[in-house]
Amino acid sequence: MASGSTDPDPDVLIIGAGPTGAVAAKRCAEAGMRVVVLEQGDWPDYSKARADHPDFELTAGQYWSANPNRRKAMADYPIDDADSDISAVLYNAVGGGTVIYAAHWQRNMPSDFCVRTLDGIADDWPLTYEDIEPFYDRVERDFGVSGLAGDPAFPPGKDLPLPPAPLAKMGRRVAKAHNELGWHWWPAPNAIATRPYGPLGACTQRATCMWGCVEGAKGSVDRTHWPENVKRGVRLVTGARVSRLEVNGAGLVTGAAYFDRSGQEHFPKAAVTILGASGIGTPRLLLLSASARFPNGLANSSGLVGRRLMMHPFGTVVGLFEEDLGSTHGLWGQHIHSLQFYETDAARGFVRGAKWGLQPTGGPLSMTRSYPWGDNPILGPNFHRDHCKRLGHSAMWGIICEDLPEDKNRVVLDPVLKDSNGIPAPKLIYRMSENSRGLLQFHLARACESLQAAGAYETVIAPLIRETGWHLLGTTKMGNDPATSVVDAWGRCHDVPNLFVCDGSIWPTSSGMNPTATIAAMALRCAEHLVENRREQKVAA
Amino acid sequence: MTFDSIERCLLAQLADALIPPGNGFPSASEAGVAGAYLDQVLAVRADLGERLKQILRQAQGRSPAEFVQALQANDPAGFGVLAEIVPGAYFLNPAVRAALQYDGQTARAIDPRPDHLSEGLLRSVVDRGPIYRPTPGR
Ligand SMILES: Cc1cc2nc3c(=O)[nH]c(=O)nc-3n(C[C@H](O)[C@H](O)[C@H](O)COP(=O)(O)OP(=O)(O)OC[C@H]3O[C@@H](n4cnc5c(N)ncnc54)[C@H](O)[C@@H]3O)c2cc1C
Ligand code: SF4
Repeated sequence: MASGSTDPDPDVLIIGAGPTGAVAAKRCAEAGMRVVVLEQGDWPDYSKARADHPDFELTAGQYWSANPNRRKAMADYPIDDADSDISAVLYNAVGGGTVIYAAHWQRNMPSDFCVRTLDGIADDWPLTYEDIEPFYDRVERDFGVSGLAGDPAFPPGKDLPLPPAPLAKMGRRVAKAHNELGWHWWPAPNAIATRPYGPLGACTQRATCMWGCVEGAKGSVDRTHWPENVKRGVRLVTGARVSRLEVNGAGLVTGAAYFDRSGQEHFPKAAVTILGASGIGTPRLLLLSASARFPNGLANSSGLVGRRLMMHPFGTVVGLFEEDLGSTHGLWGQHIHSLQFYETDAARGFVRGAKWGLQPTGGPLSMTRSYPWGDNPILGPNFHRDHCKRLGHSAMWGIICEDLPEDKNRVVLDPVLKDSNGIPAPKLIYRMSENSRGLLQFHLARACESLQAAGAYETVIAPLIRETGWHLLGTTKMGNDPATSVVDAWGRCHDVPNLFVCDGSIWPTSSGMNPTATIAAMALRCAEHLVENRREQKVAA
Repeated sequence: MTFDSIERCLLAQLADALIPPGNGFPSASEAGVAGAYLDQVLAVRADLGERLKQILRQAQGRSPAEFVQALQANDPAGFGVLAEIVPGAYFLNPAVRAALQYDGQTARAIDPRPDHLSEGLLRSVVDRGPIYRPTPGR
């Protein structure tokens, strides 16, 4: 495989235009490779971002809804979550999940890569923090990450390209309290431009990051990567729903089959194929690509495709304060984070930990909703009293719990449910483990203490919010042994040497961090390896 | 979808069970939740209209407070529709927004002077030292 050949087929076919696809496409195109990307969604329509309108809170959950089962857009496929404790949320568009992500930009810690060695459970990654660090540095520049170097929760590193967001009143209060408690906190890293940066405008703290950023300040890849990728020659095909990968007699992938918007099928060919369709979309495609040669699904000789699904159980604690914190506004996003209880302490009765991110709570209608207020409704006789207590006077810790991998938690093909092209939909089978339950309980209790120490006169807990499966990880495990993993340390499928998976599916363990920083860094690392070794790369003839 | 005066009257009663007057704020019906603001909600959330009609049919002849309570207990999805429409319409009223001193998710430029440097806040975090476990062998 070499750039500059006369072969009209692309060197690389990428499926999915989320951060994985965006980062991989950028690197391959920079190296002169011909890249075609198939994305079932369209470019996000920011005319539907209504932060400037009085009906913002009423309409935000429509076009920008995170749940494909409710959004039901043309690009969406249904997900059967009846047998799952958590519903998966994602966005199918150019930009993928980053269109609606909160842009909390968290590197993993060194221990996240060696859970087996340090905690005697689950698996080590076939790489270390030090291996991935240079790739973090590079993607942080591309995504316009803001934050402050020197966080003692991580090895010393380079400055981020942009200064951190303000701590804000809420952050300063909690920071002081944590200093008194002797607990960690730090100005939070966000993929949010605190100043104009490349294609990004400056954030204006509207706290609408998950429902269409009208300022274009959020580092979503439809802004940070795709326009530039397209200019560089990447062919991005939208409205292209891939139904399966095609394999030749030698067991190599020759390309994919996809339906366009009119339902017509196409069969583009490529030397190498990269999957970046997310922790659900990727195993779904591999299972859909079963054939006589690969009866259990493509690249599935280990039987692990779809298994070990991890979704990061998520809970919130909100503190109510006498002081007006101005918490209708801010970054959504996070102002500070705490990793005080991130590392394992066996005395707690569980292993691993969670990351906390402190953020605002939004406008008046948000005060009445179950996220983040849980089962604590205020509509009724005391409405005004309770509403005034919340609006502008509340701050929220969002708690991301590490989930450990279990074979029984998995993505399978639904025997009945199909998408609009008649392609079998994914079904989730997921039960939250005892370890995750204990971990979440512990962290919720500590987060209450944190906010109380900061002066909260009341705390409100939402112990587990169902529609928060926004981190979809683990379903095509990475490892060195083909018997116990699907891909190698570079994302290459053990069974199919010209097929790569670069998204969060490949994580052997989930960490307790928001994953996009590591997904992007891993995608770059995999793409870099592909570029460097392209002359030796086996390709479909 | 249109709602007649009987339906609007019923909605006003249910809405007042959810948002009564108090703390200097008007009740839902006083704020026009069953009038112009209902229309504004449905103009952008047409998906809620059909279910609201059903709920209003069920509510006929029932005590509003009891009906709302029963709906919440027995039909969370139906209650969810009411819980979206009523406060959603209420907070569209400019007088209510003004009383809350809420002018929407307006732009508030980030102050370029960093606020993490004040009061030596970070010094004590740094002084407490690293809190991560390094990669074994490093
Ligand atoms: C509401 C929400 C908030 C989040 N907040 C954060 C946060 O604060 N910080 C953080 O780090 N992460 C956050 N995440 C997670 C983050 O969005 C994901 O981790 C990230 O987007 C995953 O990247 P990806 O490229 O692997 O997959 P995705 O972003 O899901 O992209 C996959 C793409 O593949 C396409 N695709 C899938 N199947 C097919 C097919 N068959 N044919 C064609 N195209 C296909 C999809 O349409 C999609 O566009 C959040 C997610 C959500 C939903
Ligand atoms: S807070 Fe900043 S990043 Fe978020 S939506 Fe507003 S302007 Fe965009």
